[in-house]
Amino acid sequence: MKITESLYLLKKHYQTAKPSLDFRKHGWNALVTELGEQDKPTRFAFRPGQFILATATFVLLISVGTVFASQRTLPNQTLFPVKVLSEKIAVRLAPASFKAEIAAGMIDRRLTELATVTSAGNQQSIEQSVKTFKATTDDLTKLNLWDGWEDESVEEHRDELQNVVKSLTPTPTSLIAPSIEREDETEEKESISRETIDELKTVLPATIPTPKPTQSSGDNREDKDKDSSIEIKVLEPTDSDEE
Amino acid sequence: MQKELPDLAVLVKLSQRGDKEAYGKIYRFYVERIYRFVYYLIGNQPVAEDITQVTFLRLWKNLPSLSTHKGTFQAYAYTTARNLVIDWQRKKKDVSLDAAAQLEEADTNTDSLIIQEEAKQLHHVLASLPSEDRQLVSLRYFEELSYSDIAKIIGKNEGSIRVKLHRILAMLKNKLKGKI
Repeated sequence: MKITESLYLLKKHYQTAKPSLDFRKHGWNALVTELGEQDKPTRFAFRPGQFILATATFVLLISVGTVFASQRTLPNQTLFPVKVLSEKIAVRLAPASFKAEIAAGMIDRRLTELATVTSAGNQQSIEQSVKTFKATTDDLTKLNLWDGWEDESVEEHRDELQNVVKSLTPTPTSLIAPSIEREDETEEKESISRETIDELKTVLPATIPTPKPTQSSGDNREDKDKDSSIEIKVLEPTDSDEE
Repeated sequence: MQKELPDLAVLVKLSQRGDKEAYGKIYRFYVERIYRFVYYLIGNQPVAEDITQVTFLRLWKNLPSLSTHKGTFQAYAYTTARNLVIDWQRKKKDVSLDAAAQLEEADTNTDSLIIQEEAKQLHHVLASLPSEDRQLVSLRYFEELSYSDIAKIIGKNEGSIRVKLHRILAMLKNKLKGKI
């Protein structure tokens, strides 16, 4: 007998195998009861692996989106700490040859922020910006970015960074002296001395518009402001300067 | 080939929307096939019934991710049953020959004693095969599934399934020659 015939015969035996009578009678009802305990199948039913992957992707997208959105924020804005944190992480994770470049970029951003908030004239933002500036320079100083560098190609970066940090010493906390150093004296909180303006001019872009007075202050406050605060004027080149 | 369930695609679609009556039709059509397949592999009636029930529960749960394309549901049903059998065998670690014994007892009136004896020998030889080889024989010669469906169930390509089955048949022939 051929093997296929034997298999055919065996198939007939195979097909006689049936579940118990009880299973045949009640199998479906038992299944329906169990199905009833489950929810209707949903189109977005994830398997565990897919769920983990989807969650990880979602978290990654949110994180990247938040960091990206934070890049245009200014001091005192909600996402500004995210920007600062992302920069800190970037400068630490970057290869040694890129650290100086990133650090220089960080300082540059702090200066731009300082210039922007100064032109907007919000005292709180200016204070916050100066604090952040100091924190950034302190942090970069701690990193000792030029330690152990011997390569000539990085010498330029090192010198450049050292010069930038030196030029900022003392850091601009002293620029808005009364407001930072004597915070308890509220009357002088929003004033900027003429000396600080001169110092600011050396650090910030040459054209600084006049800061607007704070709206929250009362009428009496406006009188005080007239006495104590100094207006920052846009510097126009004069004939003598040109000479 | 075994007859297909008419409008299977429509029934699967309705089931995907939560229609239990439609799923009931699918269940009634496939339940004995799945049971036989499972029972042949493990040879234990209560366990085979349990595995069959769990197979249909899992199918219901995973219906949304199923395509309604012809043949997909059938292949998926056997795959689910097969995976459950593999899990059970891993836990159990031994494959019973009860199925062979029970199959031998059945249907004794229709065939001559000589043919019965040959079938019995073949069944013993089959029972000694590795689990995957028995799955292949069962799916191809007992369930009469297409090579493409078997390939989907086992997770190999169609060509290798054909070659494997050819080898299994040749081996069965040799073993039977030695026995009979």
